[in-house]
Amino acid sequence: MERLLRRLPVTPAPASLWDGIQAELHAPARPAPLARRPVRSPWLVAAALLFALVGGTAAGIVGRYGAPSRWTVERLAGAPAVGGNALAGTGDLATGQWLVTDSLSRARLRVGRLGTAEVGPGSRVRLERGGLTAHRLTVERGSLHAVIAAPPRLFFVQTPSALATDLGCAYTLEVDEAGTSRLHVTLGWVELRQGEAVSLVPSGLVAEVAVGGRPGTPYPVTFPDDARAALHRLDAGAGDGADLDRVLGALHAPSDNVTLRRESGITLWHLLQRVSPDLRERVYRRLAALSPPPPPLTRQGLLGLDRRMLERWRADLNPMWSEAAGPWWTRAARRLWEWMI
Amino acid sequence: MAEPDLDPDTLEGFRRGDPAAQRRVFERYGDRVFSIALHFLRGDHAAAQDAAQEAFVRMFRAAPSFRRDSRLSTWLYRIVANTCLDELRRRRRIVLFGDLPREIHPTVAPAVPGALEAEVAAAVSLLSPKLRLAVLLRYFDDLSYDEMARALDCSPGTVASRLARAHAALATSLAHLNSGHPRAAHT
Repeated sequence: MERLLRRLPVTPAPASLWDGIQAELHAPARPAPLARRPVRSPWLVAAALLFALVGGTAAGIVGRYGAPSRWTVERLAGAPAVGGNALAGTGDLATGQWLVTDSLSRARLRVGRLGTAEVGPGSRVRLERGGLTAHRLTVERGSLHAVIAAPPRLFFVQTPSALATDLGCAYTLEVDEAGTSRLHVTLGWVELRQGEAVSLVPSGLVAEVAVGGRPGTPYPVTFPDDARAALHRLDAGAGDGADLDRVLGALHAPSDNVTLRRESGITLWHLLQRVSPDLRERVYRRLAALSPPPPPLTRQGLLGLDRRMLERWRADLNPMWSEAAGPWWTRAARRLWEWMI
Repeated sequence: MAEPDLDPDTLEGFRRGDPAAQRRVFERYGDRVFSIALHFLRGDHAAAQDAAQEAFVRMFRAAPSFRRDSRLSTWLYRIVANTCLDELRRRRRIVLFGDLPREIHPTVAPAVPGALEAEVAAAVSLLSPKLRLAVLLRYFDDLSYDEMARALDCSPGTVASRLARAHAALATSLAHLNSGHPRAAHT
């Protein structure tokens, strides 16, 4: 076989081959071919996908939770009035209109697709213009019981003294003639805000705020009157050791069940930041007995009111009570969510 | 590494791009390169000329990077092999269905029916491209397995394997030469 293969004929190269080589070698440089680029940059594709994802999500959210400009209102008792007209049966509350109930009247608002808000006797409630998905009411006085089943921060109630932001919950908000608000959360939790001051009120707790004041420390709904008064004094910076004794005495003991301890924990967590420095150590010891600060939190940092440590401790008390202590992507998602709505 | 048939001055001139040296290199390898291309491309004369021209141009342009630790022929045949395979890929993209028409070069086609060389060339042209290249490099310039391995960018073991498979295939396709052809006794 090898001998056969060695008989493969060698064909002389044509004379024109050398000429062609020379011509090619000495030809003027051809314009460089355009660099082969992918038709679509991967980054562009990624950006388009991200845009589609965010846009699709936003469109889905708006479609699902879009805030209507008119809310359905239903008479429950008495003669509630919408825009000055008596409501018979069911009607609409338009943006800017007032829903007013007398001492015998009650009405129920349908909060878009989020849930319902029952307006109690003696109330003045106005539908406000919100964003794409922000459902906003103003309660000038009276009471409102909201049951919301939706993602957080879609339902807002403004009172003369604070803004209540739904974080997925059921609650009752009462506003007296002086504008003081009393929030009682029965499910989930609510953010009560006045300016930069915030109280996060979980289920089972009550918080109050007066006009011009800051949201008070949340306390268990079973709190006795004297402990509540003492708590108000401590919140106002006017309390003393005896007031703290009353408050601590009314709180659940560390040996109580975990739910009760958590209720006390959130009260103590707020109180730690509001009492004078000479009382703070006692609040810290009580809170640490309920829920020891996890490493790397330090007593010194917590008594110094280090914000990150405080948030981390709150998350340890109950992850539902803290957003800021979550991982970066949850905070980023929250900011994106707030921006979208 | 020593380069048979090429003196050091020619090699140095080749690296510098000296036209006279390039000419001597072409004269030394031109026929073999053209023949390899011609057999590889199944006798397509024009395509073989294009491939050979492309191979030489590539080599001359890359001459400054040629290192003397390998033979010029090995380097050249590697370029030839890649050029031929590129040409084959290009053709496959053009001809989407079926094979190219088999234009048999006068030296490949049985110009005289029954001519032994033409029958061998035709049998080689039926081998798969990798086996064909191995056979052509082996029998046109008598490259060693190591040199073929460098030219084909594979291991010497792979070269041996390809040659063995090529031999087996050729033995089958040229079996009739064993029985009737007077030159078959050389097999």
